[in-house]
Amino acid sequence: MTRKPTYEDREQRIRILEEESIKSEQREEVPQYVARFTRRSFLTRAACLGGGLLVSQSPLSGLAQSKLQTLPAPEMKPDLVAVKGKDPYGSTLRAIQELGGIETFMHRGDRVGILVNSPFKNIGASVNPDVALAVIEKCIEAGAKEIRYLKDPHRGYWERSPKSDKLAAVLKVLKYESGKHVKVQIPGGLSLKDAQVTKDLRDCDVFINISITKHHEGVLYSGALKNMMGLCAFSTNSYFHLGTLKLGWFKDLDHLSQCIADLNLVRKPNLCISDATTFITENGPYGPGKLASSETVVASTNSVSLDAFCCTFLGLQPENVLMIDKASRHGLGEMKRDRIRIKSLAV
Amino acid sequence: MTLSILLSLVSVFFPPIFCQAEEPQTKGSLLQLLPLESDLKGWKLDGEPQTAEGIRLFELINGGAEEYVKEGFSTAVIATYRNNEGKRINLDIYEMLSPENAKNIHRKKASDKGQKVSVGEEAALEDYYLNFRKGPYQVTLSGYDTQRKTLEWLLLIGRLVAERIR
Repeated sequence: MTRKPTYEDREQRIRILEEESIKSEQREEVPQYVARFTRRSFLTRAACLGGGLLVSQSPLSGLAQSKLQTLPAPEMKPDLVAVKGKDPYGSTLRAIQELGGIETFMHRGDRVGILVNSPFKNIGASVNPDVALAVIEKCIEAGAKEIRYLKDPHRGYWERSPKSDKLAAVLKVLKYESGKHVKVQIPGGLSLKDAQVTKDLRDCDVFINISITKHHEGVLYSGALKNMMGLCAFSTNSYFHLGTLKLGWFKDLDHLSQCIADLNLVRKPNLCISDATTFITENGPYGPGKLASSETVVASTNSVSLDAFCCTFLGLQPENVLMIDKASRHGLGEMKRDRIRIKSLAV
Repeated sequence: MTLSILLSLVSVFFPPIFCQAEEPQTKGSLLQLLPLESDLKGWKLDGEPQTAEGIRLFELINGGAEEYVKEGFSTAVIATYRNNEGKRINLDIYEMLSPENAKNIHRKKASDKGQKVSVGEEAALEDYYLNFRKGPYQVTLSGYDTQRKTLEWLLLIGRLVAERIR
């Protein structure tokens, strides 16, 4: 039986982050967003990003919960929104709106980094481009100074969108990933102590993770947490996949799952979207394979909750997906469905 | 935990992956398996075909490489054909280290439920994709819809590839 993170664990982690932020001022390779971490900013961010979950698990949770419960129900924003509809573009717009609108996550003049799971050409293996398109358009409308891929899509990705009339303006705005990586320290990492991550993650003010819900041969399910590997250099991802070699070639699922959970400590997304419209249920992550169509787009401020919800589309329970469990143990988010405020609707 | 340490360890345990002495020839021979545009009326290659050897398959298909490398992978070529109507068909050819390796990966990739068709060996046609194997090669073709015409093109291109494998 594993120990649930305590309030003291989180306090210690915050202290480590504080110490690290002081050290990082002298270290060029450590990104600014780590350097910017202070106790206050960490707690503020956690709370603002729906990370009230951090507080909700602490001894203060009773107080926090009781305050929340006194609010009138309509005032409470959901932690997660699932929109079912035939049009992925429209569903995505609605999901963002139900979470409070794009302005909840960004300010005019912000630089936005988008991590779209789009390296695979097979249908159901990459995010439906209309989902990404909707997010990008909202960012443009809200006055983003720059929108940059944190990983470039595969060739021909955008051609799959039937909304080609909208594409020209969007594609003009998008900037490609710089191809430069920086070394990031991960103080709380258990298997992964540092990672080579795209420099563009450091440079963006707002980070949006757009994943696809799909099968993955290794970790069973691929979603927001797994998508973070798209930020990393080949050398880092090789370490994830090759494992420690203690258990042999590719058999160290625990290592891979822990690395993914550790990587998610680097930076929490401001907004997570998962495309569960059409996805592969076998031969993941690359495909091709049998497709399922849930016709649902899911949005949340928390990767763990998003994945805990979306893995059920593949008939899995979050407790059985090791990386979700490990990320939850890191205090990155809530995986228990009855503790997540879910709003489901159809359009 | 550096990549170099890992790769050197892996190379000790899995030397075949790193023994690609005749790299240019291997790449060249794989490219020769791609059907010619002249054999495919109205279809053209959409961009340059991409190739990968050994563990570099991860750079080409990311996590999709895992199963191939685990089974004993040598080289791959990945291409997309596009027709006048804008339809696209993806063609992936994986050369495994042995016919046995190809058989193993093929059985993982191809479902038992697929329609048996006459392309190479153990060909299985499913909703929008085709898998077959021949010798040390495992081949996957995929379209973007389930239309009969698309499936016919998958079969035609598949057969052209199978003919080119000696």
